Amino acid sequence: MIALPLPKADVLIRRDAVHAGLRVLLPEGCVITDPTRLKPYETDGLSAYRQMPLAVVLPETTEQVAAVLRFCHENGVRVVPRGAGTSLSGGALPLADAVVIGMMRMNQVIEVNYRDRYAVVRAGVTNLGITGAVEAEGFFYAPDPSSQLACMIGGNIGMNSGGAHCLKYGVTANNVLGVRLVTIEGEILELGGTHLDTAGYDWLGIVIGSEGQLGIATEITVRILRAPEGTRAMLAAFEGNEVAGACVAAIIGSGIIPVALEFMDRPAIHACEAFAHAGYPLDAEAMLIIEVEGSVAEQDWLLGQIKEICAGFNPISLKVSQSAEESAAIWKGRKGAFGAIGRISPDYLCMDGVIPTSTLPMVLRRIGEMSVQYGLQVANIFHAGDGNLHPLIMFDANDPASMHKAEAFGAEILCLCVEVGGCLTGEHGVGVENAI
Amino acid sequence: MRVQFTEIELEQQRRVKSAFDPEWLLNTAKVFPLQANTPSAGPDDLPRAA
Ligand SMILES: Cc1cc2nc3c(=O)[nH]c(=O)nc-3n(C[C@H](O)[C@H](O)[C@H](O)COP(=O)(O)OP(=O)(O)OC[C@H]3O[C@@H](n4cnc5c(N)ncnc54)[C@H](O)[C@@H]3O)c2cc1C
Repeated sequence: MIALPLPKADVLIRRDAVHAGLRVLLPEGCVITDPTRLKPYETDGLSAYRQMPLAVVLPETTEQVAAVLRFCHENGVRVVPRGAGTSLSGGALPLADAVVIGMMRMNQVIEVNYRDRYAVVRAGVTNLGITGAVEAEGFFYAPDPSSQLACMIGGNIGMNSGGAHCLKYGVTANNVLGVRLVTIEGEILELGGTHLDTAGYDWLGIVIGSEGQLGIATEITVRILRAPEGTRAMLAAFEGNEVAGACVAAIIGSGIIPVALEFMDRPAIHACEAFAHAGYPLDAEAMLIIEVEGSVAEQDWLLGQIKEICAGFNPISLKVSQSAEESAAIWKGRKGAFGAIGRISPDYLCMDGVIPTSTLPMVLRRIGEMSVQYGLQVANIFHAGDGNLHPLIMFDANDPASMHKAEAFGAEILCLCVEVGGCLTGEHGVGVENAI
Repeated sequence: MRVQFTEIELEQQRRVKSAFDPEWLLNTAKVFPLQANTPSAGPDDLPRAA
């Protein structure tokens, strides 16, 4: 179990005064103190951990965020920023003596500038909501976490989130141009701007990925890109995890950058095919989803190169999607993967390590060995092109011994990632899970 | 975090946190190991040029 700090007794005693103080600052209905209405905020995507907060506030403007932060600072009250609460590392987990600042009411798109290719949005706009606002004009916002329907741009900044298509386009940090940040003292800072670089220190570099530790982002300027002419996905099936991992290393090593290069092992293929009916190869031990984009000629050329590389790894099958519907089904399976695993095992830990792609075969073999050693099943579904692993360790949360084993298994995987020259979080953040 | 970073690296990061949030009120108990989850000693503690 992960230890949390003791709540501040002097703050708990002042609970009513804190509630009253917050009510003065915010409009009616923006301060939640009633236990039944606080309940939905007690956890995030790391749902094995729960904690009821002191209060939840739902500000509607940057000035209200500043007023709440100033009040909390003056009164020594802890604060937990929260977007949609999908963090998988416990980043938005409340504390008993903390005020949760929920950003969901700040969900407006403020400005879209197609000529200079940027959009200004408030922190509570969902990731997919940004693309939704610009797609009619043929634009999109590139980073695409699988949780993109729910997660918010503010949370994406907190975690420097990535997704399947970040192999080509980069993660959140590569797609954010400016942030309006409110400090704990209630000061409003403008960091970055509307273009790629600004003079002076790179403050955005410090703030993006800072997990709500340095301030609260209220308005964000993001880069929007012209959608590609077309995309095509292909499935490559292999006889083992190691050989599929070696194929990934070969594709990346050859200098080709597909727009996405995703890996799924046998348990993941079966779980996802059961609901997506995407034509995944059920006879395979491992499968790669490889997507390319551009004009038809460019797609053909890239797919030809990739097929040639795959052929060197004794593939069971290579199948290029023949239609937009088929590609959509392929992605539906991938993006719904965590939910699909949830149907096999209600409890799982989703790990998030990064390794150099050349070490993939060795690391996958070691994870397989650890799975036998700990007696816990594991499914591997991950952004292979970036070397961003997501082993899902299945366990039974009702059995403390099983949970303990799962945490030890996870810690051993992350140590392995660091050992081979990688790091302990790719895109889900450190949160409480990886802090130790 | 202790596997990834040395004590010195962690301390440098804690100083960045302290510069923005001296009392460590923002998302306390995340990111840093719990034992190290307190404000760093602040500017007086910075190494000085000889
Ligand atoms: C099914 C599923 C699939 C996922 N897939 C991916 C994936 O493919 N790639 C990926 O990277 N992640 C993925 N995640 C993890 C998660 O969705 C991301 O970390 C996401 O960016 C969190 O956004 P959120 O709005 O839910 O933020 P929250 O979980 O509410 O918060 C995340 C962190 O950011 C801080 N924060 C929130 N808002 C602000 C703000 N306005 N200013 C400052 N700090 C803030 C919080 O304090 C917290 O530390 C997945 C999660 C789930 C449940």
